[in-house]
Amino acid sequence: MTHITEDERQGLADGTLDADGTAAAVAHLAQCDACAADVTQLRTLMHQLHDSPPPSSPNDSAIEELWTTIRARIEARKVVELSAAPPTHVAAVTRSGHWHVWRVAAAVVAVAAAGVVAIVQFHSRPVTTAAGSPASASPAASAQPALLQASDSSRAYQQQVQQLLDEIEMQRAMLGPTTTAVADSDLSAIDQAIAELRAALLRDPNNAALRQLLATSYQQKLDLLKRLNNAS
Amino acid sequence: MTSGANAPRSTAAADGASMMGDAVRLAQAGDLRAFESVYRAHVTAVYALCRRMVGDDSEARDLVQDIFVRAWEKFASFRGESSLATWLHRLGVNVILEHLRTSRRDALRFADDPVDDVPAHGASAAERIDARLDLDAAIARLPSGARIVLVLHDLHGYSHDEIARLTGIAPGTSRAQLWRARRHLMRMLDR
Repeated sequence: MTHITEDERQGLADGTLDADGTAAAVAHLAQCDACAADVTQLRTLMHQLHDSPPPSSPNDSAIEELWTTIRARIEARKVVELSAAPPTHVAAVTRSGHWHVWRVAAAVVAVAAAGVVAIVQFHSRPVTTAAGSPASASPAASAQPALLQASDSSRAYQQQVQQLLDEIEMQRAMLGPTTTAVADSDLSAIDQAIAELRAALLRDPNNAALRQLLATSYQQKLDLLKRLNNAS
Repeated sequence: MTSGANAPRSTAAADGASMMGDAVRLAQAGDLRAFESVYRAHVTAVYALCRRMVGDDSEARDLVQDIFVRAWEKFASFRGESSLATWLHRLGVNVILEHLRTSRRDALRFADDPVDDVPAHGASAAERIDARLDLDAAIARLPSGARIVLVLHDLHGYSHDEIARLTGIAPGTSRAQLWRARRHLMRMLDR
């Protein structure tokens, strides 16, 4: 006797065999105990798989631990994006021309604003600053400790910014109307981000991540103004 | 009495769905606390998927992290065309397969081994006893390629064409791996 194929056995068991194939295979099973027993065993396995409960889930503390790690990873990415990306992009594109400085600046501000808003929303949760974390590894944090101090008082920053703005204002006519409009818009956006960070710091003065973000934002604005000043 | 008993449940269910909808919208706008609600509602299902696909608890937990971090990054792309559970499931399958491709070079080896290549006594007597008590233990002991196809097809209802697209194998190979997995399971379960 010729037995039914593996394809037919498996298809009978999981119901994927077509109608003609099923009819022929069922006719065979009526005469062949070996094939019938095999298909029955396969069907039993199918039922067992179908009815099996999901694997036991992690306990509450494991779920909590997992979330802690996930949250830290998400928050870490925000800080890295904000502090690491701008200098590279600005430096790279500055070489290409004046107008491009502002296009890149717009991108920088967009990243900064997004990061600031997100961090401000979670200001009550300090970002992890353990070894290897973005907060401790950030170029802004390691290279400019003085800026961190100066930023919070903002006096030194304000003086530098005002000086640069005055110089730029005197040369504004050389920039052209489109560049000037984009520049004003970008400066307004970065100022808004700084204002939001300062407000968040008033509510949560010990939040190290906010302090670092504020310092980075100040630095971004200074860098931007310096580059614009050089360009004009 | 029946309608009286059902009404509060319906209202509660609607409130729950509405709250989750709000959480999704807030999370998409960058609200990490709202995303935490999404995590807590779906972590068990995501873990179960990972646990069965990779067969190892520690690796499954690492993958749960990867999946939710990826979900956060891509949350804006969730348009509600499928349920959030379905979206997370599909995202999870992709993350798991990516992980297997990079971390275990042979994990996605889908050799066209004939089904009868599976050793007649692929599991020890002790393994057969354990497996009888725990189907998941038996699934975890399957060769990875066969396990992935079995989990996707028999537990999650993927077609062979879908599995082929996800894994890069031919539909026929997926079918052969499924048969292989089932036969292997039957032997471990001592049928």
